[in-house]
Amino acid sequence: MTDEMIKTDRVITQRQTETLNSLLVRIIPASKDRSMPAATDIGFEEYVVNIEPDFAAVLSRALDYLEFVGGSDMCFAQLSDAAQQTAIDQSKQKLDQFYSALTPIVFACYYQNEKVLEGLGLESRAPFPKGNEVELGDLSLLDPVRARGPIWRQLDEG
Amino acid sequence: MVNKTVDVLIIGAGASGAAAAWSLADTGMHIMCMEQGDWAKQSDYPSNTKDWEVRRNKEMSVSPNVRQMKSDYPINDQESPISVVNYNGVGGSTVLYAAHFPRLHPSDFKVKSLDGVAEDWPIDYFQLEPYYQQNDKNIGVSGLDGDPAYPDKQLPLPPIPMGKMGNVIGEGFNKLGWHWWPSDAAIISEPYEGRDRCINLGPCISGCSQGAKSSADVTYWPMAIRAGVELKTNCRVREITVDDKGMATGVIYYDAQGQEQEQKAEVVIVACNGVGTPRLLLNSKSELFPDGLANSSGLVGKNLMMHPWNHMEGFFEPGLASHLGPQGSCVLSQQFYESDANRDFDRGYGLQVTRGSSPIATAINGYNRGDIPWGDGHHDAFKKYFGTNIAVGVCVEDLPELHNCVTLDPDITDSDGIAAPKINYRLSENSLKMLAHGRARSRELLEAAGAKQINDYGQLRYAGWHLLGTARMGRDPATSVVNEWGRSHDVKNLFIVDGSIFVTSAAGNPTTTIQALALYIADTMKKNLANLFD
Repeated sequence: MTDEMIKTDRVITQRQTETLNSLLVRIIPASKDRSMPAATDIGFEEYVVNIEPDFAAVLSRALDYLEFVGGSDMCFAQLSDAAQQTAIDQSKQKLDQFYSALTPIVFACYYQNEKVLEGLGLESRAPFPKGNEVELGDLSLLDPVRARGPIWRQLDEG
Repeated sequence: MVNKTVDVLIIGAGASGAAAAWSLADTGMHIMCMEQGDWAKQSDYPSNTKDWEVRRNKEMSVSPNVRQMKSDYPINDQESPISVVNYNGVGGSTVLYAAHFPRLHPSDFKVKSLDGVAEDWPIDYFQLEPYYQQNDKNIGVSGLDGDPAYPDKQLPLPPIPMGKMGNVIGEGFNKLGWHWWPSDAAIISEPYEGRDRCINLGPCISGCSQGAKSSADVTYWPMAIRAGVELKTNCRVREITVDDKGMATGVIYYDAQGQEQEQKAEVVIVACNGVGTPRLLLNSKSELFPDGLANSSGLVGKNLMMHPWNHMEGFFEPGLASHLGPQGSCVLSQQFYESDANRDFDRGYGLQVTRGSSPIATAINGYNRGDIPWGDGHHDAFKKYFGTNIAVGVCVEDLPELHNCVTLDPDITDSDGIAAPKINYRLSENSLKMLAHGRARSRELLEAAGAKQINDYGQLRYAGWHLLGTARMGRDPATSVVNEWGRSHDVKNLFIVDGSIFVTSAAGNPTTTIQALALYIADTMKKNLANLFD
């Protein structure tokens, strides 16, 4: 097997993926009625590779740190819910920039995902060329505005 | 290399340069326009792709410092609470603007006479009125006739839709007895002159893929080019040259390959707006004009006005679908526009009601506010905030102050080595009082309309769309840069037609007035061709 053959577009290891998934599902879990997927189910890693490549190294370093934060023998993914939250809280100072960047990137990936948009009752498509229908609105509501007459300042008012 | 002399050279292919080019084309003169950017392609705009929300914040960001296209130049705005936003290409900032198109009021031209502040304009509303009308017809403007905030005016197209949110906010205005009206918009609500109507794509400020937004690249430029105007793109002008009599002789520019070139011209028209124009004039130093061209008054770059802007939004019951519709244009209120002696500030402001947020923006803004959390509450919170918000902007009249200015940055240059502009700007006490008044009224409005939650984001940083006043017009050469028809007091064959010639800013979006001024100046030039330099 040559080096070329084992090249991969993965930016994180399998172990890091487990940590990432544990983190993602804490950010956006699936909805109780399962109409909305969890953030683990939206191709986040691929999104980072293609859309936010500058974030990949930051992500990898943060996942390494998070995996063993708190001094537990267990990796992050194996911790209880409460212990994961503690680990996140403990890492916030060290990983402040990571968390600040992570949330908007996860949201951006999530809220353009086909399953998510369909779950919200929206069409998963570009705005153009179909566009959107918007009602004109009730222009009779302007009757009282008309009835009050002109409000622009006449120049002879001085 | 020196190119053949042209009759008229226009620098900048944005709102004003395009209008002036179209108007002057019927003279049969050789008219050339140089634009530092290129044509934008509608098929490249973010709304052609599903990832439009992400793309609009990067490659089509409204900030040149973020966007960093080859045609962009850096702007040092570290000493300003308002950052400049613009677009550099054919059509200029109209490519990315919201197309909100309120005219000035008659009183806006007489602020010194009426209120004792700033200066009167050397022209008035009624002189400009036919040019407003001509501009509306040329580009296609939509709106509802009969707005009592203005003298009678007729727009060529019916209004763009307000949507359900328009009804809700309209009821709120009516409870308070305040003026409101569907916004005039440079967006075509019906097919017009070969362009199809607006189909409510939403993100107007990242370019209109439909071509329904009446940006200068899809309106004036096709007409001007058909009429014989030569438009040279990817040409960045470094300086305007002069002869020993103090007349402009043309420009030195860098072509698409970065090669220095010279273009001679009988008349030079500057149309680079309130930051680009003073930057060019200040970069055009010579023995005769050591402080920059046309700057004997010392006012080139001074009196920068940018319209401080407060942003507040209210959240309502689900069902508004407020995320749909042309982003920047829904409803305008001019209840507090005209001066009122009972208030503690001079002049007034407009309230601009704009649409809600798209999905990603809803999630990120909601998270940043603390309303949309990580975890189990995420989905319910998102549904509560998506499509339910109505934004109210306060656009205050920014009065001219000498210390608010554009200068040349001593260190930063663009990719051609030309000194970049530096902005020094601070909010006046008057603006702060007006913003405070507007914030209170915005809250009152949203409460009257039934908002369940109101968030006040304060004065916006990325709100520097309206770049005005840095080469103002006037009759006195000691207190103005150009005369009452846009001609430099110092250089008789140099004209300025953009927002830099505004004497005061009024309290609304300026592009309709910028284009009306460009048409008025071009028309006056045509009427005075025989003695243009006298």
